[in-house]
Amino acid sequence: MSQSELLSRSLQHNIETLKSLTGNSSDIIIRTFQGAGGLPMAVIYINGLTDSAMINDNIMKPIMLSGRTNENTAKASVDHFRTVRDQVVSICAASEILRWDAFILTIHNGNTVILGDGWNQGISASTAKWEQRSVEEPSSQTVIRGPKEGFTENIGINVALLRRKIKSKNLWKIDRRIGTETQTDVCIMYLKGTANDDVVTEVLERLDRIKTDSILDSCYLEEFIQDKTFTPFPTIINTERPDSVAASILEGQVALLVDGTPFALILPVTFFKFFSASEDYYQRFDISTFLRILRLGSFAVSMLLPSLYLAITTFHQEMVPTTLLIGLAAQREGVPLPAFYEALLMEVTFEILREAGVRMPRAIGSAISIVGALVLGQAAVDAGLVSAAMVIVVSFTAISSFVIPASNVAVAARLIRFMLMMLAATLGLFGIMSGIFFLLIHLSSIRSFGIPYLTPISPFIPSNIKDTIVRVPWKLMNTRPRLFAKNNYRRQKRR
Amino acid sequence: MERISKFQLGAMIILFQIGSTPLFEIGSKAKQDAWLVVVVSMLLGSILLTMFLYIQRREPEMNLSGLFMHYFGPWIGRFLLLFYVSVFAYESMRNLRDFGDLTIMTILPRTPISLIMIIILSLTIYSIYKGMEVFFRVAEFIVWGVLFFYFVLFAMYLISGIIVFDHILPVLENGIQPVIKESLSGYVWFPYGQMIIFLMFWNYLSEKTLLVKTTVLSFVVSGIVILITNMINLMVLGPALPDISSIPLLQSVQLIQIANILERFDAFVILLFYAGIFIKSTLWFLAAVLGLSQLFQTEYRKFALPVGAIIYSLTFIPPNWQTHVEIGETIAKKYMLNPIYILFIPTILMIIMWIRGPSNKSSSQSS
Repeated sequence: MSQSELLSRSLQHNIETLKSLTGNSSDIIIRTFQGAGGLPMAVIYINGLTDSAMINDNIMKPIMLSGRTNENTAKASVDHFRTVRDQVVSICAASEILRWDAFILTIHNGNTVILGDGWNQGISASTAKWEQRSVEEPSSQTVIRGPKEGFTENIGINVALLRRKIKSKNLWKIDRRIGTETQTDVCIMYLKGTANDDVVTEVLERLDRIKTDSILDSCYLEEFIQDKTFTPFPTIINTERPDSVAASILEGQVALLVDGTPFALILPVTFFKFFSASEDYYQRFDISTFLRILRLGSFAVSMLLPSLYLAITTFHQEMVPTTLLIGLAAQREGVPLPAFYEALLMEVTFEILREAGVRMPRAIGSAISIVGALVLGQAAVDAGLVSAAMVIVVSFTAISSFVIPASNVAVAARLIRFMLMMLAATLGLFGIMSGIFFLLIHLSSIRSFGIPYLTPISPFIPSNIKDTIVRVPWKLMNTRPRLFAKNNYRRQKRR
Repeated sequence: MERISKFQLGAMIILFQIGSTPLFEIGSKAKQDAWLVVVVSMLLGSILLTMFLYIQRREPEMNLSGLFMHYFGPWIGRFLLLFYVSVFAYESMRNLRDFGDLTIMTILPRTPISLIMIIILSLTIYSIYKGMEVFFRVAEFIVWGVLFFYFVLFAMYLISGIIVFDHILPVLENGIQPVIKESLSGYVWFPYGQMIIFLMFWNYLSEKTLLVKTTVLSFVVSGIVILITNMINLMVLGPALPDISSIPLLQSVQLIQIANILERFDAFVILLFYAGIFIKSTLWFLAAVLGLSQLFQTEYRKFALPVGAIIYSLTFIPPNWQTHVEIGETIAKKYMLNPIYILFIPTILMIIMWIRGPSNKSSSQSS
């Protein structure tokens, strides 16, 4: 039996079809009753997705009561259908259901379908209400100053959060439904007239090309639509902060919202965007500039520090000041492992600790910190397994990697760190340099929806520099970034 | 067609010109007047640059291969282009070998040179596979770093107080002749005359009107950096030492010591030297494969691997660094390679352009 088949006129037949389509699942509630003139009717909904008080008060009760008072008005079924739809059901959003696939989808969205004997269609009334998280402070990107609300798992609420921030007719929304089984709602939002229309078309085309059964998180989409698969660097940013999404939309970027996840996607994006936190714009510009430089520095440290340490201690000892060198040599004396294995051991240990910290139940959190700090740090040094300097290097690297606001770039740095460590252990500074040049060529070749990744440094766009490494005061930010915004550059009048 | 922006062209000129030049002491035979050799060579080099720019301005849409085909006819043009391709490949090979030997001399004495050179060559080929635009973007990105590090280096020299101004005195002790002789014997051609390579790339510039301004400005910037490093080497090491040391910059930088903790800036120098030689070698390589692709009318990426293999095998001909330097001197001076490809052929080209002057308007529109 094909799902796209139309509903029949017989209520009994419809109910049987539904039962066979859904395998008689018990959470699909089929409540049969008698409507006007003793007409057999049914309301169908899914338990847990609907507000039963609403069904009682606004659907069942009016229909049953209308049946009692207007006993003689049950004429042709079409008339009856219209009466029920237009005069009886007191619910704001109601639509007609003609086909079975629409029927299945609408009850899964929490709507209630009203069927009557003799109708060849149903009425879908919006009664959705399920347990969900309310708008809370985002857990992954916290701020000291600035809006504290975060996206939820409900796309409707998320869109509303954005609408509340940008009250403009130019904020356009285009919907798609992706996933043959999950039927996930996806929408893109952008500022018409500011965003690059080519990017919008390209995004829609790429979304339409997706042929998959499920979208459970925005990461699925990210992997489907990104420009280049084989790179550790993300070319789409994700955030659960409505204010960052709004800011990006105002700069001419396109936001992509997915039902079921609080993480929205923003595209196109450049490398330096990953180092700007939304708080940069809520603080004084001088502090923000300092913090941005600090973050870029930390990114470099988290990628390079262990490999630099390895290269210098194994190949280029002459570069260390003599007093420090003596100290290092004394520490290394008792360590049985070569420096590279020592570093690898500590790095892997730290990665395990971090993963354990994320995955384990909250209640045993303190155990990890004791094991991590005391046993693997202090005791390992005392036992002569690793040198104290190495523990410092690894810890500092780890701390630095947490400074970066976007965790997916920090992950890239983690992977690259190991590659650079191997190069440093075999070829010293020369190896590190080669690794960096390889990365540079790679980064220069990446594009995010047509925009070179290292914009605005290369290609150099002078007017965009003011919001890249530095952030100038708002008074001076007169233009939008050149490459995102195709037209409508001017943000505010020059003073 | 691939396009490059004015910033990318400027960055590439700066990096290409700086290249490995500051590592060596230009004009060290002129003793304390070495820095004057730099100035004179730069002035003479700018005459050459004027000629190249003039040629490019007359035919803004053509690069060297197009010019040869158009003005010398298909056969002589092809022959000349092949000659230039070999020169470019040869220069790339020299830079690669320089790189290998300098790395072994400075930071990795026990690593086989073949390994070092194959790593650099793979990076070169990788960037050529990624395309010309990507390579120019790389240059645009690292030029900031290179200029910044040179600036830091200069500041460190000043702060550490090891600069002795007396080392460049007396000025012109033996008159101007030694300076001009030294300049003409080599330093006009390297690095200033090598600007001829940009005849292969200028036509890709997207903003044609800014061609002269961008080129001259970046030429001056790179000249200033070269001049300052040259003077610093002289003033730190004295007039005698730079002549006999293989990498004077590395030696002078090792003398920097600030507050007993800021010392050993070798890493900076090695970084700069890496960036410089890599960019230079890759640009020569790119010019060679571009020339080949225009000779055979195909994609330039196809030639990256074969040309790379040839270059790599050629780097092993000199058994050691001294022979390598000697071969370079012989080819440059005895066989006059530098004057031929930098001065004579472009001059002939320019004269032919004058003679056939009026016809070029229609042809440049049609091409």
